[in-house]
Amino acid sequence: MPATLDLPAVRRFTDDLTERLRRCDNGEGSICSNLDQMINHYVQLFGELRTCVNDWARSVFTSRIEFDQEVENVLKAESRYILRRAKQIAAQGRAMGEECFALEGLNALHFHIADFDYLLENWVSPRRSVSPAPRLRTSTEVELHMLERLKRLPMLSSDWKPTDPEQFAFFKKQRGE
Amino acid sequence: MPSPTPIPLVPIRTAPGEDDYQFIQTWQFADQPFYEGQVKRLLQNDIPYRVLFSFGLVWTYRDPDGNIVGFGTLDACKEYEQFTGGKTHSYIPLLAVNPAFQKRGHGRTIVEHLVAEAVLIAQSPADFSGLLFLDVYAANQGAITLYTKCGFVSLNSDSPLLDPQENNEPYIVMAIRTAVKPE
Repeated sequence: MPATLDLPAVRRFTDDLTERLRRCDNGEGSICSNLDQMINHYVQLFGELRTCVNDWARSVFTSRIEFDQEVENVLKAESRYILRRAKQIAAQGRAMGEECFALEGLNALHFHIADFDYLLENWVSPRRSVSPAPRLRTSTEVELHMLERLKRLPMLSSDWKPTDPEQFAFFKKQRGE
Repeated sequence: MPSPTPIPLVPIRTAPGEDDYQFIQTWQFADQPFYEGQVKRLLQNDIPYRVLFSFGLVWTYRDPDGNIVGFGTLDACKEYEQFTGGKTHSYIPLLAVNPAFQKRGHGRTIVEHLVAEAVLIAQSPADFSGLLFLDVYAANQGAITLYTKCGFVSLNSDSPLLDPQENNEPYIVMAIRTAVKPE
């Protein structure tokens, strides 16, 4: 993860990610010496990229940084690149899985592929939040006052239950009833 | 005036870009000067952000005749982490009743559904706070009354916060515990 989310830092992060993908695709080193390891490595890199994208979006949303179109372009390009390669790896994994053995990371890889597909298809550029909660910080004095009230908040009563039938069924399951 | 008997509603998940989401963006709300177009701006900006980059969920609610009578949103985030020891917590960014179907008790049904969803979410991960937050403009007395009826408590009604981006209109933070007392 980049320490800051400005363009040079994000570029360094995505360049490093691309390089690790390239080495993995070429089977360099011991990390990706077989398909199973390759899949797991892709899962890890997907996770790192998603964390970076989310952190950048949140920083814009909470007004910690200004929106930078170039940063967005870099992150989207990297997302497209890893997604395209991951789909090929997943296809290989499915073919191998049918023939001989189950690949442990394949489900996780499919999850990330679906996630990035959805993300890119529905992408909206993050902007500063309309609602105040993400942007504004309360003073220490007000915070202490609010904390005091929070401490006194009661729990939901023991006979509380959801009124929606689906939620109620899930609630009972969670409680082992 | 007695509260209307609530009609059961069917919650249906939706997301930005889907037909139901586009439909709720067409509703005409009577705006106060300080939050002119705010519901629409939240639907255009904040909710898509929360769905794509956070854990935002959106539901529309249908009555027995199939009308979409309202919508609700929920996120798992850190907007009020100063009160949760840094833990992620549930947060209601926005909910609304279709202006054509107001004064029928739907608001309460929607809030109760969102609270229940937050209860279910809070059961799972260990590092998740058992608190659900929302914020509301102090002038929006109707909403504050509704949330209070649903068990929310105002944390700063005597010292409202000011939002310079919305003409310094005072707002308050409300919260409810999502943990159920053991039997």
